[in-house]
Amino acid sequence: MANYDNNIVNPDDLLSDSQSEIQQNFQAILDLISVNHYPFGDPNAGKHQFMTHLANRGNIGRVNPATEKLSYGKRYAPTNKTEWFASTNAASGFLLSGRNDPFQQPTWSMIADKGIAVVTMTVVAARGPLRVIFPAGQGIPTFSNVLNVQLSIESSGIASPNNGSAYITAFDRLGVDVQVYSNVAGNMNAFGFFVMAIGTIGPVF
Amino acid sequence: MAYDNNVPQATQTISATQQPIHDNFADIETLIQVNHVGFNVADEGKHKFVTFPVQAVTPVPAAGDINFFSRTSPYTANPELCLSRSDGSVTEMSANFNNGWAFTASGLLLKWGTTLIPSVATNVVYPVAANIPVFSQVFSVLITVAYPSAVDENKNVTLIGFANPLFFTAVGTQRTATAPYVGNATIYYLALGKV
Repeated sequence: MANYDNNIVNPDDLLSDSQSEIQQNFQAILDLISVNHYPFGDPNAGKHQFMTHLANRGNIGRVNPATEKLSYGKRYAPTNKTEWFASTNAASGFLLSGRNDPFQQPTWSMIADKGIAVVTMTVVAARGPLRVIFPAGQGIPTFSNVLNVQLSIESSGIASPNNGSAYITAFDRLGVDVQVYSNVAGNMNAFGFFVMAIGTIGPVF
Repeated sequence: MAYDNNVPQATQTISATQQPIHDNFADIETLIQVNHVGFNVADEGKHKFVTFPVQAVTPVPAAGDINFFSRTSPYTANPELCLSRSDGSVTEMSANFNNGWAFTASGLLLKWGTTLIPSVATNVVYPVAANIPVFSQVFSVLITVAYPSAVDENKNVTLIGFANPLFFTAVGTQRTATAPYVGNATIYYLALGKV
């Protein structure tokens, strides 16, 4: 890739002095434009073939005006990958592309802007009150705030469930309090439910 | 004139090179103004928007970088925004149809719908079509019983399992007893998984 020199031409240059420098700058411009973009002469000249976001490792250190949205890549510790971020003018970035890897249960995945993520997990229940802690580790970030929790009853393969039901009594960013009921006394071992929690994990910095 | 990165030539006079240089400057300004804010105004160099013509081949970035690009979705047959990584993996971020499925920006596949469940174990097969992505693994299924009649139908529906990525299994009982009910229960379901 040619080196661009913004200090040419000089007043006392002869054309023989500046010719190669001017030509080199035109080459450098062509080289730079050809990164990510369709080059001169192409019907799509100036549009993007693709757009590369570099792996910024720290705060990108830019406070954009309130009327702008900033898109960038940054290394994200829980996934150990470069992820896609968007920031507002608060100099704080929200994760957009993270998920656990391997992508499996329990699951966490970003689902929307503003750092909104979903976590799903399976819980085996017994009758009575139960505190369900959202999974941690395995690259799963901790919620900063939980917005909504859903429960769905599951009978672990038993086609004749004993009318189990589970009700949310409260939730916070670390877990959900559940009360488990059944119409049938006795063994509740084959009873469980699925939890889906939607919350925020940002801003990241 | 087309941009020429081979001007000026050493043997040319100023009078001969002035116009090619001028043309190059004009071409540069024209190109920069596509997608970008142009020279000599506030915000120059920033993006007004980003246009991604459809790529036939996935642009694989250098290690640690991520690429955004557009490809024709095998599901929607429309250009969709994608993210690629250095391992060649692609996450299709924008594809969705109004027939019960959508990808999130992280590649999570959501499917939703409504169906009827009787009082015997019943497989609910996710809709199949050329333009509907197929789960390779389901992470969770959530169901809610509906009473379309607006009266208590005394019906409860329980998941039996969803290990098979092509369907989930559910069964209904009365809400107040383990006895079966007559007819069907209406449910809404939401399934989360990956392709």
